Amino acid sequence: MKLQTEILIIGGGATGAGILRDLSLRGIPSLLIEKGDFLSGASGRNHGLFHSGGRYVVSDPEAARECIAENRILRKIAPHCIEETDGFFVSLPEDGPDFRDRFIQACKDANVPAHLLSRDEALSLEPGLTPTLLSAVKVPDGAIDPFELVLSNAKDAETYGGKFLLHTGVTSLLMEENKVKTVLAKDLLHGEEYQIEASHIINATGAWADEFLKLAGLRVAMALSKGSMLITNQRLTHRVINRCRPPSDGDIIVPNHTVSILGTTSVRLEDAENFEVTPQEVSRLIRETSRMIPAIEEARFIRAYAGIRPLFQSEEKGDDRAISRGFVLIDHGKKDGIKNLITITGGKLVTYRLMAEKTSDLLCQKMGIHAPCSTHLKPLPGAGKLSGLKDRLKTLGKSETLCDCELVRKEEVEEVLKEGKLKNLQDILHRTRLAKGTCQGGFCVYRLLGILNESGLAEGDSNNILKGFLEERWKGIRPILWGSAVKEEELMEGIYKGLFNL
Amino acid sequence: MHNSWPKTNSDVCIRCATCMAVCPVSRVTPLFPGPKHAGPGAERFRKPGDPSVDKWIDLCIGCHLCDLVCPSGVSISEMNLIAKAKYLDEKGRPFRDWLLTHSYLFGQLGSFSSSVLNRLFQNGVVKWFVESILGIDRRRELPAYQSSTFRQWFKSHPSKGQRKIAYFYGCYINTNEVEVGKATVQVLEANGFEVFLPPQECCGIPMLGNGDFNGARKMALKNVPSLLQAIQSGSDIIFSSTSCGHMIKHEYSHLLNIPGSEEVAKHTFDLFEYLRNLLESGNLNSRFKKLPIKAAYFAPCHLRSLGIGLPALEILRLIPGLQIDNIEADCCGLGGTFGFKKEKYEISQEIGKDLKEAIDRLTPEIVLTDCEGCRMQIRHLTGLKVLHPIQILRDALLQGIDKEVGR
Repeated sequence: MKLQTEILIIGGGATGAGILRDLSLRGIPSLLIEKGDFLSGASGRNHGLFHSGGRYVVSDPEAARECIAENRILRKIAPHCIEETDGFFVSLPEDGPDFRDRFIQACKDANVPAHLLSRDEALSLEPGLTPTLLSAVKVPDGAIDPFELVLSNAKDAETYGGKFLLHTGVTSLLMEENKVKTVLAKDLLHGEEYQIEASHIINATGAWADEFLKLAGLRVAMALSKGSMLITNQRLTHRVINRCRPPSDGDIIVPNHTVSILGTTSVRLEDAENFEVTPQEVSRLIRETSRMIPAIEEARFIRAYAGIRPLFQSEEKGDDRAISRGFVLIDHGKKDGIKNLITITGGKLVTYRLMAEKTSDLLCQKMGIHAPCSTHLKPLPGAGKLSGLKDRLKTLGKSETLCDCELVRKEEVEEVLKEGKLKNLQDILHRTRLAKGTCQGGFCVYRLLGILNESGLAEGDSNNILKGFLEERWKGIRPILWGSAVKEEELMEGIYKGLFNL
Repeated sequence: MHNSWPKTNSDVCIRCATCMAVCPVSRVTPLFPGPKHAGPGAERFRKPGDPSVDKWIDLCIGCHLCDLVCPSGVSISEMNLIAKAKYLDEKGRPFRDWLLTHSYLFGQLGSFSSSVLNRLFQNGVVKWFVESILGIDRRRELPAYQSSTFRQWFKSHPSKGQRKIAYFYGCYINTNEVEVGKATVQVLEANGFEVFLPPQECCGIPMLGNGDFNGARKMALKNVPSLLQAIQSGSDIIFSSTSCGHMIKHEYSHLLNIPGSEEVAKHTFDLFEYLRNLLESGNLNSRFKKLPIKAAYFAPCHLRSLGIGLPALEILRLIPGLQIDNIEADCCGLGGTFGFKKEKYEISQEIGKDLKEAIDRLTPEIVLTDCEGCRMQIRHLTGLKVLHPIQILRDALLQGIDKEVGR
C-alpha cells in the first residue's frame, strides 16, 4: 500500500509520540510508525522517575536545567501522569557532607529547588530510611507513568490529524541522490507492506538510531547502556529516594503506583535486542538500595527488567554515566548531505517534550514555515482525571475486577478494547495496570483471554498467546526467584500446567 | 498513637485465594470483597497520608478463619482490624458501638435491676427505641441479666482443693450466664483444684473488634498485671470463653504489645485444653455418670484460632450415653457485637444459615459450644437449648447438684 505524508516519524517512544503531537498541533500532516507498540524501547523500560534535575546537577548542569524546566511544564500539562511525591537525596555516613554541599550549591545554580532536612526530619517523613543517615535534601522529584504520558500524546495527536501505524517496522530505505525517497515498511503481525513517501523523515528510534541510519548508509555514535531495575510488591517509601553521591548503581528508589522501583545499573551493550537482568545486577541493586532503606533486604520482589539508554557518544571514552543525558538533534542534511532526514536521540523521558519542540522547530525552519510550538501550553487529554491509589481502591467490589492485584476492572479493559487498534496481548497490558501486581498476571491474563475470545478480538490461538505471555513473564521473574516469589511460581505452574495443560 | 502497630506481612501473600473459600462474610454478601482483597490486596493501595476509602472493611467479622487457612501465614484479620480502626477513627463511631463494647460497665447495674431490665428489653417501645435510635436490630434478643452475679455466688462459695488455679470468667459469665461459671468451678474442684478469681476487667475483645485499639489496650493493661501476679503465685489461668482466651493469648501480645503478655499467654489455657492435659497425665476425674442425651457440638472461630484442636469434644466423648456430633459449619455469624448492629443483622443471619441447616440435619436435643456469642446466635437461629460444654461435663460428674440454665 502506498502512503503519503508530510512528515514520517520512525519510533513510538516518548520522543516520537511527542513529535507527532507537536507537529499535529502545528497543523503539519504527520505519520508515525513503530515496529512494536508505543513505548517498546527505553520509554517503557525505565524507573518512572520524574526528574527534578537533581540527579544531574553536579555532573551535567545543562541537562539538569532542562529537566527542571520541563518538570515545571509537565506538572501543568500532564498532571494525570505524574505523582508529585517529592524526592530525597539521602547522605549516608560513607558519603560524607562534601558531595551534599556541592549538590546543594549546584541545585542553586541550576535553579532546582533544594531544601536540606536534618536526619530526624527526614526520618519522620520517611520512617523506612536507615536511621544512620546524615541528612536528606528535598527536591521536586516525582513519579511519572510513561505509558499514560505517551498514550495521551498519541491520542491528542490523533485529535489534530496525526496518524500512526503500530507493529510496523521499516524494512529498507529507497534513496535518491541527496534524500530518502521512499520508506519501505511492513506490518509485522499481518505482513502488509507499505511504501511511504514523506518530505521529511525523523529518526526517533532511540537505541536503534544507529541501526536505522545504517539503512541510509549513515552512522551515529551511540552507546547502548543497559539499566536494570527491580520492582517490589509494595511501595516502600512515598517519596523518591536518591543517594546523594555521584550517580552510581542502585541509588534510586521510586514509588510508582502500588510498587517501588529500584534502580539502576549501567552495563555497556552491543546489541539492543538481546539482553536480560543478571543475578549480579540483582544482588548489587539490593545491596546498594538497602543501605538507604534496610527493609529492602526483606522485601518481596515481583519482577526485574532492563531498559537501554540511548546515549549519544562524544569522542572521549569513559563511564557511560559521564556521557551527557542531554539530547542530540542531528540534521543529516548538514552533517551527511541527506537533506530530508533528522535524527533525534539521547535525552530523558522528562525532556521528551522539549526534544519534540526542538525537532519540530528544526523541521519548520527547514520547511520554511512559521508555526510556533504550543505543547507547553496545552494540557494533554486526560489531564482532569484522577488516578491515585485510593481512587483505585474505591472501585474494589463495585464491579467485576479482572486483575485482583492492581484492581483493574473489566470495564476498564473493555474501554481500551473499544478504542481499537490493539493487535496483541502486550498492547492491552501496556494500556492498563493489568498484570503489574503481585502475581504478575498469573490470575488475570487467562481471564482477559476469555474476554478477548468472547469479543472475538483475540488474534491467533489462545494457548499460544498464553504461552507467549508466560515466556515474557518468566523473563522478568527468573532473576528474582526466591522466597515468596518461588511459592507464587509453584502456584502458577500448578495453574498453567495442571489446569490449562500448557 | 498507633506507632506500635505490628508490621504487616502482606508481602508473603501469593494470591492463591484459599482465604476466599472460607470467609463467611464474602460468602453471603458482595459488599465485602473477601480477605484476599480486603487484606493483603488493599494493603498495597493504602498510603499513610490517604484517608480511608475502604468502607467495607467494617464488615470483616473478625473470625480469623482466613488466617487459619492461609498457606503463607499472612495475618489477614490483623490487617483488616488495623484498617478498620483507621476507617472508624476517621469516620467516628456511633454511640451504639460504645454501648455495645462497654457492657461491662453496666453489668452490675444490669444484675441489680435484672427483673425490670429483662422485661424492658422485651418491650415493643423499647425495642423500637433500641433499633431506630441506637441502631441495634430489634430482631436480636438482648442478653438477659441474672439477678445474682457469678462473683457474688463465688464469694459465698467455700473454696476447697489442693492446687490453686486462677479463673478468667469474663463479663458475660459474670452477669448473664452465671451457671457456666459455677460449672467451671465445680468441675475444677471435682478435679482437686482450688479456684480463685484474680481481679479482672473485660478482656477488651469487643473494643478491639470494633477497631478501638485504645479501649482494648486500656483493658489489657489492667488485666495483664493481675494475671501475671496469679502466675507468679504459681497458678495457671484458665478461661471458659474462647473469645476472652483468644484475646488474652493472641491479641494482647501480638496486636497490642502489652508488656508481660507473652508470659501470661504461656500460662493461660482453655478450660477443656487444661482438662485434656489432665486426661493425658492420667489425672482427670472421669467418674462420669451416664447422660443419655443427643447433643451437637460447635467449635467457635476463636477456639479454632487458638490452634488446640477440639478439646471439649474429646472430653465430652468420654461421657457414657452422651451421643455427640460435631457440627460441620463455619462461623455462626454473630461476630460478637457485629450481629447486633442493624446494618449487619441480615449478613449475620445469612452467615448463620449454614450452621442452622447443619444443626437441623443432626436433630440434637441440645447444642454445646464454648463461646457465649455462638450460644446466643444458635439459640436465636434454632430455638434449641444451648449450653457451654462444661455444664454437661459438670452434670456428668455431679448430676443433680444444680439445674442447668439456658434458654
